[in-house]
Amino acid sequence: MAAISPWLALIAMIIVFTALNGRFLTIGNAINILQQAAVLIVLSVGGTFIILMGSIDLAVGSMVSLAGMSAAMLIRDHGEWAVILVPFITMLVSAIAGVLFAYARLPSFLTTLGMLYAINGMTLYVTQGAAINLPTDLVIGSIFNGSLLGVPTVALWAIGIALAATFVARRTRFGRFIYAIGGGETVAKLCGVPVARYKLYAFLVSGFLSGVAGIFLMLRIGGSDPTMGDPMLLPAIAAVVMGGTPLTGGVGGPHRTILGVLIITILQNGMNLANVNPFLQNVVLGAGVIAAVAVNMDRKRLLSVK
Amino acid sequence: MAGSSSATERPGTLGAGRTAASERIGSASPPLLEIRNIGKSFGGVRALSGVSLTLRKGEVIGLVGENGAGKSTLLKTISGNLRPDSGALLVNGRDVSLRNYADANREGIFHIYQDLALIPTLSVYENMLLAHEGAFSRFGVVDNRAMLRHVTDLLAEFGHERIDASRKVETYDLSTRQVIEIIKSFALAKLAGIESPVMLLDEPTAALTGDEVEFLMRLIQATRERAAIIYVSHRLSEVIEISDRLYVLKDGAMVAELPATGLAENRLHELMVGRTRDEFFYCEHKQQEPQGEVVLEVGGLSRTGSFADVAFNLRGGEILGVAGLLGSGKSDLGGVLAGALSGATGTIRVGGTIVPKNLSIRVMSDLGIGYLPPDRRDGVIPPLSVASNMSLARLTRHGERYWLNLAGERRDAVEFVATLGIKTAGIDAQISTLSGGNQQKVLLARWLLRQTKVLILDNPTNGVDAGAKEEIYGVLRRIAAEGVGILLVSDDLLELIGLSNRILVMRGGTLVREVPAPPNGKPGEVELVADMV
Repeated sequence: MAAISPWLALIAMIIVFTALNGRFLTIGNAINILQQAAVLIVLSVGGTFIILMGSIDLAVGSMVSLAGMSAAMLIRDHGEWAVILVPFITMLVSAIAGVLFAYARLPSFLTTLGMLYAINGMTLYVTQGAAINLPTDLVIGSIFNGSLLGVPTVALWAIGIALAATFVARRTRFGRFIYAIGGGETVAKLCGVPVARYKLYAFLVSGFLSGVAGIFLMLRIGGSDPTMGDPMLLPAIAAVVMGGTPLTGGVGGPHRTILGVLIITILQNGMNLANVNPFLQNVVLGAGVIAAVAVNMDRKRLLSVK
Repeated sequence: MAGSSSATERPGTLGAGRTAASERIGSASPPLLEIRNIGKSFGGVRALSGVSLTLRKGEVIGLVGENGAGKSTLLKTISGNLRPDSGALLVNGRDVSLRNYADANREGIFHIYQDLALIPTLSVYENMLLAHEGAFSRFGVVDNRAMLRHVTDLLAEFGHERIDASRKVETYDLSTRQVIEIIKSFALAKLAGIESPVMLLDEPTAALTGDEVEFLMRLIQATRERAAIIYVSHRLSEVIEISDRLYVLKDGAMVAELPATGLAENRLHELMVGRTRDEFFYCEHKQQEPQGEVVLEVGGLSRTGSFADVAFNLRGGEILGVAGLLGSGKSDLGGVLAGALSGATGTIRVGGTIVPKNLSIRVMSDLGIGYLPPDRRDGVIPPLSVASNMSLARLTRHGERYWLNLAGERRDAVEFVATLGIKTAGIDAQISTLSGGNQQKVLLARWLLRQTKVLILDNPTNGVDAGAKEEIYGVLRRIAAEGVGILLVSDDLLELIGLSNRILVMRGGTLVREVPAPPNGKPGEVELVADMV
């Protein structure tokens, strides 16, 4: 049930939205959806590694804001290719949370909640709350935000990253160890898995990808805003869970998260086309998250629900 | 004490309470609890059929049977957690129908669970009277002092004044928690106006060892006059020791009711599984004189608070048993040698290589040491497949590639499922769908895959039924025959005696004796116990 329910949800939504608006099921709209989904795919695929361990990264949204700000400032001051540094900046910042979580053994929930606030504050302090606009003739703009044979390049990049992440999760030792840590940390330790180091690695991956997501978002909106990534936190976590990776970790994976992102994006896109009030859209999204948890979690096996 | 075979071998401790109840059996009053022809099915599968049982005040009856024989189902039926399809339940001769556990409590029936049903973060008195605060409330306000007083008095009544009722349960060790749990049933019975409760003890010693078991036994002796107890345990010697009578369940039916006095464990095994347990159970005919080199050499090994100055050699192909009570340091010795516990001093050589000072699991496993921890939950990763669970230790090998070789992993898994006779729906099945014994075989395969020279096993058959035990023993013999040295740490004395070439006896952190155990000259349990205590 948990394996096929995201597909059922997708199919049901496509049928409903097609019935509501003829423009929904067109190639143009499909391209729209891909473009809208791209940033969220990159961000939540990174977060999937953290959730697979049974931990959580609440800082992913603020990390996108940080990345957007850094990218815009670097482009402004050092030319557009300096943007390459951005994922490494966010990776370093994420390493702080990773070290506190993995080596100082602080719970990831509180560590990353603290990081969320600290990063937000820092971004607002550095920018003084001001937006930074980008020049319009960037080469990276055509690479990451252009179009190739009618397909938005950002979507191609996102799909490439998601495929790479899926490969890493299923076919590498790193991926297997992350599943093992989520499924039973003590066991992993007793098998000789260097648990703390791999926990840190997962945070580095998540940090790096939130930097990439931040660049993509910045290019799409044509500049940075110090709070631009903040609203992405909940969709990023919801996409992971709706795809089929429970917060308890150990099962699921990045390939499932792609589905979760598509569900959220199609839901938003379809409701926009059907002229659903934007406030009510949030109500539907919230209900969708709860429904996904209800279907995916093996509640009979849980001793207690907290 | 897990392994001793009968009360007569352990004079002075137990057995005193047995006569009192036997005298009452002839009396006219109805039994405290009577079960008549209870039947229960789950989706067409019969879990219990025509089960009957009687229990009188002051009596302890033992309930034994293999895993899946229906013991838990029967207990749940008695405690109102399951409703029987047919049959009757009589309390004091009165036909009762229990809808839930609260109903059972009102009739004075209490189920004391395998994993203790106490909330660690609440105090002793809050735990004992949980869900019964109403009796101590006025206008909806709970009188905590009255509750505390009530519980303190009760603890004193049972001679456990040392337990502070206002302290949190988590500050007490397992055996004390068991005491709290047992006295809790008396507390609740008293509240319900019942003088003698029926207590269902489900594997009460599964989490305990040595001294703690002894302590529990004494507690049962001390309280049996005021209660009636159904005692369920895999540790047959323990059941024989504590019970007046035994009931044997097999495949959901009661196959025997026997007096405990003079009962031999072999006889019970025969009734439970329908075969005689003898030296073949431990494959003693396959025991070989170890021909191999010394694979593990330990000298002057000490760890503060665990053990001191331990020295021994283990040869390839040898099974070396380690016996001892809880606190003897035997479990910690296994943990240190596996690299799971730090802070030890002394010398360890694995296959001639001196182990560096700071032990770690990675260092030890790269040298060829594999470890099965005492708790299977520390061994299996439930959501992962059989194949992934099996390959996990191999993947941590020094110099292992970053990419997984999935085809190789599947090949290995298929091979080990066949050679170790692992019963599973397939190598992709989640390991949590396997029975305990088969999970344990997967864990053995995990270390064999890593080309292990020394296997350290801590209670490898804990909580495994007799049939699966026999299979695991067969596997261990085969592993030894292939030249692996096995250090077997166990609370099951018969297992130690049956499997080992030699047995090291530990007491209070030191190695007190080495007992040879050749196939034709196995030591007796009494001989080992004498050195253990």
